Amino acid sequence: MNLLAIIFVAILANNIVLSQFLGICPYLGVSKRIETSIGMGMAVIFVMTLSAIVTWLIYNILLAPFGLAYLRTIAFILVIAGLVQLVEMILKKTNPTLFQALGIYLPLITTNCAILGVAVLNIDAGYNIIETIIYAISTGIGFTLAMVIMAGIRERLELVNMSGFVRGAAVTLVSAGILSLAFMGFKGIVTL
Amino acid sequence: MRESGLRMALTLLIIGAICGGLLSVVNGVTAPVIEERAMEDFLTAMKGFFPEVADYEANEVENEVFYSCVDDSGELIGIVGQVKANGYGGAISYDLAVNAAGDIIGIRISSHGETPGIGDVITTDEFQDRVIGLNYADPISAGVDVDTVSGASISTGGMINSIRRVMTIIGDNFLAN
Amino acid sequence: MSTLAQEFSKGIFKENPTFRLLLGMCPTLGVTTLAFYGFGMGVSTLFVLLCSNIVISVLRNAIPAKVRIPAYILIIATFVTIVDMVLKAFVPDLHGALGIFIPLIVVNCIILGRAEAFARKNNVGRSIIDALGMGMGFTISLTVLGIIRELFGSGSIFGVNILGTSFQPMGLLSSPPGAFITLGILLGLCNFAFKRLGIE
Repeated sequence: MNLLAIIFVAILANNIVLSQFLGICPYLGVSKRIETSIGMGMAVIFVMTLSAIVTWLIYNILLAPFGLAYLRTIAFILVIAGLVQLVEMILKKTNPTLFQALGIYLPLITTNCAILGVAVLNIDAGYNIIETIIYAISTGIGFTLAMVIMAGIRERLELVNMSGFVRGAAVTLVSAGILSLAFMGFKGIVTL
Repeated sequence: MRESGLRMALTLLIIGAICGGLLSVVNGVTAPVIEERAMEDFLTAMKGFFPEVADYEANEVENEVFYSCVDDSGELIGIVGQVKANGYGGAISYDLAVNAAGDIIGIRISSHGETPGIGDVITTDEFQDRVIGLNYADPISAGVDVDTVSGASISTGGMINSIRRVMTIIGDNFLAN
Repeated sequence: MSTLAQEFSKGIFKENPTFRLLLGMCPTLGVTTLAFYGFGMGVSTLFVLLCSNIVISVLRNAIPAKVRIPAYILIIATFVTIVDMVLKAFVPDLHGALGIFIPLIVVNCIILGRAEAFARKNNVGRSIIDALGMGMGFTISLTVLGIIRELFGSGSIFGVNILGTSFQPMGLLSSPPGAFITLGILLGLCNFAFKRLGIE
């Protein structure tokens, strides 16, 4: 499979949030304003790529050759949790500006299932390290894109007069459904 | 302070060791069951494709396993490949059976993540009949001699591309002589 | 001090993880194309939640507070892997359908959430009741969503044809957008029903 197809599919046709249902919690939680959704998106791209590389190496060097593939879930989640802590500490010391921008989103990322999801999907799809990196970055961009569009929709929904029962999560989910329908249109373009 | 640090590390270590031990025990129980079940399913499928199969030999090409099936007299009757395609919901694992003349005689989807009611059309005769009977010398190309199923073009297109790839491997490696 | 009955029923109604707390949304949307898948996911999560709640409650005085989160993650991941392996060995069809959402039970906020908010502060008995209530609330929600999507998306419930052969399946409901829209509408209806019944 060529890299361009991976990029296109990961960002648009098989968007991580809108068609794979990963990372829904931060998607619904942090998409109230465009500004915060961009911050969250950047943090996700960063951690997703880093964790995809590390988990790929761990799986292919430490686990698979020794028949320990069954320890995958436990190893990956520990690595991701540790990695997020590490990134937080390093950013705090070396790059306070970036830390201020991304710092508040980092703790939320450990329980973002998109991160663990991408790590597992890379292994299941049998990607090599280059494909893994490309896939992780593209998926992160796809996540950010979906977040920013949703935030734009929600900023306008705030101003709409509607019943209290549907305000909030209910109307957000229905909007996400319509957005997901729009993204489905991309599916026909690529046949893998 | 030092003592509590030690205690923390020790607690984690003990929990980690117990968890790891527990998992290896469960894995020891389930792994043979999983393998046996997969092999059993596969052998049943192979018998379905080639009822006269007496023996088989497994060969690995590019990380996929191909079984050369022979009859009582040791004559090659066909190849079954345990292969993968890229679908809409991740990898599709399937077996492709090809007879000694290079014609596709059967497909068995062993696992897939395609959408029920849409992409899972790949498991039906409606789709599989479009490929069965084609020879490795045919183009086997979406839109040329095989049509994708509308609404499920990613799942079916992925299968067609993969079948082309697998047929080339089988043609080059197993049917050359 | 609430009674055990209240402790149990809060997970199903007042603090229903799906419809009230909006936790564990990914599997809720991802696996509910058929009722059986939703039910299977719910039961798997219930099992992990029950086991992790028991173990964490038993060990609540032994685990130092500072390393409790990694310890909880270890314990939860172990049970998730056990579920993964057992399903793969004995219910391979379900395992194939749930796919990546099985390892992702690890990051289901419900499980770590209950460990942090309940099991580490309560005794084993109450933790079991809490896990059963929350787990059943989650299972019921997923099954209901699965029933609705399967009924209109394929015309059947748990694989049994209900709407007859002349029914034209509504493909939208089995597809990803259908998941979002169905859950959104259900959520609105739930808010309305809970308000009417006076449950806050």
